[in-house]
Amino acid sequence: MPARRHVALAVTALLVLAACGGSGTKKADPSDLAVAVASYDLASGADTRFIVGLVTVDQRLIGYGTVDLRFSYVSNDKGANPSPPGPVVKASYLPIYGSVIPSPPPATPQIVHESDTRGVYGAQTRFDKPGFYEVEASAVVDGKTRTGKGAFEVKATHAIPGPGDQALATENLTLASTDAPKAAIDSRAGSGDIPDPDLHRTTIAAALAAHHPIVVVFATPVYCTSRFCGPITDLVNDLAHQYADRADFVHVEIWRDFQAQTLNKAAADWLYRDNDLNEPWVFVIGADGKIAARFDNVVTRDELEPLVKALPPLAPAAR
Amino acid sequence: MGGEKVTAARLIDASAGLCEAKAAAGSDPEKARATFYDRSHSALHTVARGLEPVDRALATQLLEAKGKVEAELEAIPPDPSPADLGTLDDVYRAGLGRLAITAPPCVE
Repeated sequence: MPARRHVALAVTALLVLAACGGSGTKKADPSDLAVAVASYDLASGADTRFIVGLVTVDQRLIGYGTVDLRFSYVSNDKGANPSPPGPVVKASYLPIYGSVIPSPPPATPQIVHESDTRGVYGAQTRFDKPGFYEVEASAVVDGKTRTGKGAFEVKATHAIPGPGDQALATENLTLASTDAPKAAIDSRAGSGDIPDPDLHRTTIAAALAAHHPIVVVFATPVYCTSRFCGPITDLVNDLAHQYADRADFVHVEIWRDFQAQTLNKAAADWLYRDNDLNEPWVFVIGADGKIAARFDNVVTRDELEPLVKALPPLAPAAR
Repeated sequence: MGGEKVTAARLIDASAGLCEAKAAAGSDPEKARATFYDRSHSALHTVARGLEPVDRALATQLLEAKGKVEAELEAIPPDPSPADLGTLDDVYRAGLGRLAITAPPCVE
């Protein structure tokens, strides 16, 4: 399936600032923050996880502690109808898997080294109506308040399956899919061995038919272009080894052929909407076949592991 | 680029970071890893996103070269290949060139 793919809220405009600032270019205030909304598929009317990455004007990431978020409704498709910012929502740091976090972790936001950690800030919130919103993020870094704004859209309904929805009984590629290129099963394979074989032994359809809980990660480890891409497949693989008696664990590679822009069908069935596909995603599916939880873009072990741990052990014959 | 505001100087410095990581790879893999992530990693993502709509083949090469280096750097202990870091820098500079930005090659 041919596809066009965007990272969340990325636009295709080429925007390289001249090294010393071009004419007509507003010089950035060093206290500004670039605010990258990292959530996908936001919908109104229910509590939702909202995640955002914070970057200084010289492209250094902010991490640790909590930051303040304030949301403003800006407009709908009929025109602008702005409203004042709502109350402060506290957002906590969510480091990508594999981050090296000191113990105890720093209590306040700071500029971080990407070799130690990368991550986003996340909060539970609710958007009352669909439309375009603005988020203002405020972080106190080294005693100085830095702020920035980002824009995003909230739809009336989710486009991607969510909690309570029936999981799609798709036939993802597995180790038995010998007619598929190895890189279509896991982009890290290249022409060599397929990594994490335990994530490629069954299909979502087969696991649903067996009434097994399923943890599914949709990700393209090699071809992810988001700055917040992390080793999310490694996280799911680690949980698969630790909790093999609780669920079937599945990795669905996004691309059949990245260069030719051909998606794997299972990834497209779950995630390709309106000529667009955002990844990665992790879904936790119950034995009843309904989606219990979903995580977009970034998920921490602290968020995912309790859900897996809470699943009852599978009967030995079922494994 | 790719929805981000980024300076050309920052993108050029990322190439210098790859050169520094390459120079350290044989003697100090931890330094190579830190240099790669702290100076170059985010720019590689930025340029890959910028290339996707204009030269997907080059974006593919860049991401595959980046993935190979990352796998080496994330090994325990890190085991970076100077040759692979050199290849990554070559592809990255080609990508910059495709976006009308010139970065000098590594000084050996």
